[in-house]
Amino acid sequence: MTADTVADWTDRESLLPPPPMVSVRGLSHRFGPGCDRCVDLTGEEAGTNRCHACGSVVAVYDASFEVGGREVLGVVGESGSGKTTLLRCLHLDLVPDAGSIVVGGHGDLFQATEAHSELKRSTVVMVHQNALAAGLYPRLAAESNVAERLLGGGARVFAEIHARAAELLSELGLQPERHTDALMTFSGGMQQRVQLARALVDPPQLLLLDEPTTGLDPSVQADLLEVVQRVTETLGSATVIVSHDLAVVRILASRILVLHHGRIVEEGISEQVLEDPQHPYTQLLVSSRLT
Amino acid sequence: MTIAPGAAAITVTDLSKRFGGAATGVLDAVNLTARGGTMLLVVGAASSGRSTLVRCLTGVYRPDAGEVTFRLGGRALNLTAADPRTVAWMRGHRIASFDGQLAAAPRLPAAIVVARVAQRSRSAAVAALAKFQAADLAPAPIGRLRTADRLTVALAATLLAERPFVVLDEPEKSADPDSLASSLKRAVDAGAAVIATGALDSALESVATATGELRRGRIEWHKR
Repeated sequence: MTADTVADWTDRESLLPPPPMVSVRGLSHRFGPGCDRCVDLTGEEAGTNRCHACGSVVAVYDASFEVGGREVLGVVGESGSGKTTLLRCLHLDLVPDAGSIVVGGHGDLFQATEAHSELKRSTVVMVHQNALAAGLYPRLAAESNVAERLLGGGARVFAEIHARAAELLSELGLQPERHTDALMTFSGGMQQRVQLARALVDPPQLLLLDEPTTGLDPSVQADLLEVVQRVTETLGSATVIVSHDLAVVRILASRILVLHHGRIVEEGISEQVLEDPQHPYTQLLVSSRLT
Repeated sequence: MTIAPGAAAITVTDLSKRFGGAATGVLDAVNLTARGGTMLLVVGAASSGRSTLVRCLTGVYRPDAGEVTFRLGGRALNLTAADPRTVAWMRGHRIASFDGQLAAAPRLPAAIVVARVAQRSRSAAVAALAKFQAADLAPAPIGRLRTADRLTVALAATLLAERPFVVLDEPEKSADPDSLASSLKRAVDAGAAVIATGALDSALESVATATGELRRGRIEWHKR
């Protein structure tokens, strides 16, 4: 066997994956005061995520899953299913009511001694649909937006920072003559590439992608899919991609979670979820997709 | 790749699968064992359940009953009871399966897709395509290929991956028969446990260790 096939095989006869890089356990988040009937009055059987007793919205309830390094997990569901709340919890923007996110080497992120801002630089990185939401600077050059992360990581020699930023942007297919243009002159797809270049500066353990291709032209979508595929492979991160586009999820993710009314109603490998869906809601979701 | 003789095996026990409210299952308690260094060929008429069998073996379908056990060295894993992360990992690292279209960004050149699926170098991927008389497809964006060509690319990727378990659904539809037979023979010689499906008049019978016909949800083994 050639070296490139055994690169990450520690045990060639193992029939089990290596331990996960990220373990999410019992994650729950509610908007509103909550009451002792919230859990019973919401979810699949109730057909809603809003508790009619107290008016609270149980956005995510008892979500548990694991993601390995170099693995891409897709999260699908319609608007209001809890996708965004789950993602915001994973990105530490929301502190869940219950549950933990254990990341290899850090323990539960919500119990970590590091500040959330520090964890978001080093451990969890999100590529937003909208680059401005990601904290990028619209008036600064693409290169400066990448350089900012390099500085945050401790780089101090200007020539090195400049060279590394240019290298990362080129790796993501941005032509050198555009590197010094202000971010706001870039198209949506290009802005997402700048976000990915920033993620590459200091590969995170958990990479989150929020609707990475929404709002882009089909041709730009195709290019971006390729870039995302390459990045998720090279970073070695555990990647979670949230999208309502089943075709995109199928290309990027090997495994899919289906969220409905704040609950995970199905989990399986992408082919199984799309070709042999078990849950009635997944069957509806799959059959209503435009092909 | 060489796998120790007899180290790999795929065992299927009482595997059943039906769809919707159908009274009779597509698969009705199927049993088979493919040992390392052998190839089982399962032939059948159209809609006899060959693709369903392959999809149950590769984790795409969840069977209603039965077990699909993969053995390697002293280890064993029942795929039907495995959690999805394990199934996904087995598909990515141990099982070379060919059960449909490759999911890949449409603009990626075929050679890159093959290299990624098989986790091999680009030059190895081009060589693998050449073995299937498809070297000219190497630079073509995967999304622009005809279905038949996409299947050839998928098959080349599957066999290049050199995994201990190989499960192929009607590979003859996607490749030139001589190239296919020699590729399968190489996998068998390397110690892989191989299962392939084919039409009733499949030419792969010449390379198969045993051939069975899938009929009314069961396999009848041919006498040699």
